[in-house]
Amino acid sequence: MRTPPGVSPSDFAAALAAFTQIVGAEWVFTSDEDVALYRDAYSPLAGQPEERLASAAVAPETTQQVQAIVRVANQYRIPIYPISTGKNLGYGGSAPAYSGSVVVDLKRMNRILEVDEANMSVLVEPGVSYFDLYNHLRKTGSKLWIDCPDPGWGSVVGNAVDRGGGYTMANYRNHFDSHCGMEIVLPNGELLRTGMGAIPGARTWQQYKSGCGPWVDGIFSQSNLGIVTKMGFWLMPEPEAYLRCTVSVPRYKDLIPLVDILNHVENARIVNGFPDLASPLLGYPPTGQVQLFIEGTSAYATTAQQKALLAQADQGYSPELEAYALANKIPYWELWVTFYGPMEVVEAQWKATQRHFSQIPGATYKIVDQLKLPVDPAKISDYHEPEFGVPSLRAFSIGARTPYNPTPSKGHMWFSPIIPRTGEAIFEANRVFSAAAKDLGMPLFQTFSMPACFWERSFIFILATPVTTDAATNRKYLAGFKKLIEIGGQHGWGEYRTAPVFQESVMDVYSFNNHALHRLHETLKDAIDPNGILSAGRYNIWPRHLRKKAQ
Amino acid sequence: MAGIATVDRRVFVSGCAGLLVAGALPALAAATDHPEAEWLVVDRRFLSLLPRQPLARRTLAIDGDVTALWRDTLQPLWRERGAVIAGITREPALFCLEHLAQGLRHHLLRREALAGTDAVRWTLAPVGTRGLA
Ligand SMILES: Cc1cc2nc3c(=O)[nH]c(=O)nc-3n(C[C@H](O)[C@H](O)[C@H](O)COP(=O)(O)OP(=O)(O)OC[C@H]3O[C@@H](n4cnc5c(N)ncnc54)[C@H](O)[C@@H]3O)c2cc1C
Repeated sequence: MRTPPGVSPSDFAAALAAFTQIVGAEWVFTSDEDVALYRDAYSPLAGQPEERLASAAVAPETTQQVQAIVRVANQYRIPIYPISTGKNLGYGGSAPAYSGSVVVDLKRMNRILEVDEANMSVLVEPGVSYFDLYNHLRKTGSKLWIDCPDPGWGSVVGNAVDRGGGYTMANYRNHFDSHCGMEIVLPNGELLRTGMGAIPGARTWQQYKSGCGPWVDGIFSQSNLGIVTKMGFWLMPEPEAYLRCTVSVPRYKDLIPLVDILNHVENARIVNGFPDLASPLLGYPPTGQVQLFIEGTSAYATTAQQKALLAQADQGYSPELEAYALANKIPYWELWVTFYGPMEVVEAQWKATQRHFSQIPGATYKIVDQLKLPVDPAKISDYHEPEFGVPSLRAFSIGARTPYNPTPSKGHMWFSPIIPRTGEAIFEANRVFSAAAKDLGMPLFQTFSMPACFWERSFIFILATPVTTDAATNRKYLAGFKKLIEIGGQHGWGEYRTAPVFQESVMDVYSFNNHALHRLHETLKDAIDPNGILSAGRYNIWPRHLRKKAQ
Repeated sequence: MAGIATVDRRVFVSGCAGLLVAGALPALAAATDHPEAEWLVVDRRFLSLLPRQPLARRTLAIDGDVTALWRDTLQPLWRERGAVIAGITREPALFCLEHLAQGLRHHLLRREALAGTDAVRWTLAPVGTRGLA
């Protein structure tokens, strides 16, 4: 058994005994076999001395138990690291940011405390997974939808506090933004409720977000200032219909007006579902079709002549390639737009959308799916399930070996910088990152890369950096990833979220005014967690006693 | 809710004798799973690796994605009690099942890549179950 750094074996033994008193022996994990379950399955440092590993884990069932654990951690200065379901794959899994921490595993706190059908909201504990919430809503005949990320096994709370995203309507896709009210165990063991929850007996905790005075919820996301034990979310009322359409444009430069117009129609709420950018010419599918693409059944499979032209093209462009596209009527770019609402409304929205895009010469339009909701359960797997609020694990088939993907990786690290929501930025990010990836020997680009449209005012330029079984290759990609972060920073691009192994590099990029933001984070840390017990190092916020060592 | 039995891309079979195809490797399944396994999970791509005679244990066929298998069968089962499950799938399906199993105090007892295929055969069991020699 490992001992947390700086903690004597006798203090650690006393702390574990106290944890056992609180939760029972069954829920304190110290054997190597049990603790190994908290390793990051996608760690690029697996088996290396720098791999971040837990020393033990403790699984409370109630908020009172969480408070008691925190008090014991203060008494013995035990570093602790809370996780909800711990499925943060690609962003660190369930491993702590500071090796030797005791994981506080909140999976047993899996109660759905309230579903308010009239207010269209829910109050949940951190162990509630998207599957759990979905099953509960369907079982009780609720007419509410959840918004879930691609893997449905994660936690509604855990995903939100790491500021994850999903696929339905814009105002539900940003999971932290769609929360309303939090309950938090502070690092001194005190219990806090935010927003209207701070008024005893208020019935508006899940109705009005900010309450009065400074709104503090944000400091409990991507941070180490508290353990979230309850969180409210607004849910989407089941829409009557779903309409999915494409807008295709013929020329390379058309990407610029395509994105500009998308920004208008989306933020004017003419388009209210998840937009997706694709390129039939470059063989780049929209998110919802990635599965078909890698299984080789997609309409985006490119011809031999197209492939030859693509091989000659520079970042997806050459005059010959464009001429080929025009002659063969293959769209350069394709925007997938989605509408939710009553059938007559979504049809009108689609009509208005076409009118806006008609500014682009040669734009063409197609309806892909027009469905009355709910979708027949027998048919749901024909679609990208999360767009219908249905959790799934299909995304993991992406790792399977197929003709398109002959050497599947062992996992991946998401490189996910925020870039401006413009066509110019997509071109620039491709130019900058593909050149850098080539120099660094990183297999990140096939032809061209499209950003993800989770947020309405920015793109996430997501690149999956493979994790392999070869330690040397992993080290090379790890160093390359850090270099990409630095290069991104030089262009004003920064990650929206990252794994512990990159958190220092990423936060370094947020350096305005001699790292004023980082200094504020440290000031808050010192004030709220003076003993530095909670999630040390998360997002590069180290407690005072570890700052020097961390650098 | 999308149940296994009703989702057309995901086949549910209880006893897969009727789906077996020629070219089976009879020796394989005999050694496939833990003797206590209650269920055998098979990726439809690998049905041909099973013997022709009906298997003793109940069999679930999947098309690669474990969502419905997990949601409708394994999660309710493992929440209620421990149960040994064996399977022949591709790596990603096992990856998901192994991680899901961990949350309900089950673990991977055995895994073995099947030469010449991208299949892996495995056994998941409640923590504490002893492995085969
Ligand atoms: C193939 C694939 C596709 C993916 N697609 C998406 C996607 O579409 N959208 C998306 O957002 N993500 C995606 N992810 C990333 C990730 O899998 C999900 O975000 C997942 O939901 C995060 O894990 P979790 O919910 O179990 O959170 P956890 O792992 O439990 O939490 C994440 C982190 O937040 C902190 N934390 C958690 N709970 C608490 C708490 N109660 N109090 C204080 N701090 C806490 C911890 O530091 C923890 O490490 C994808 C990953 C893969 C591999």
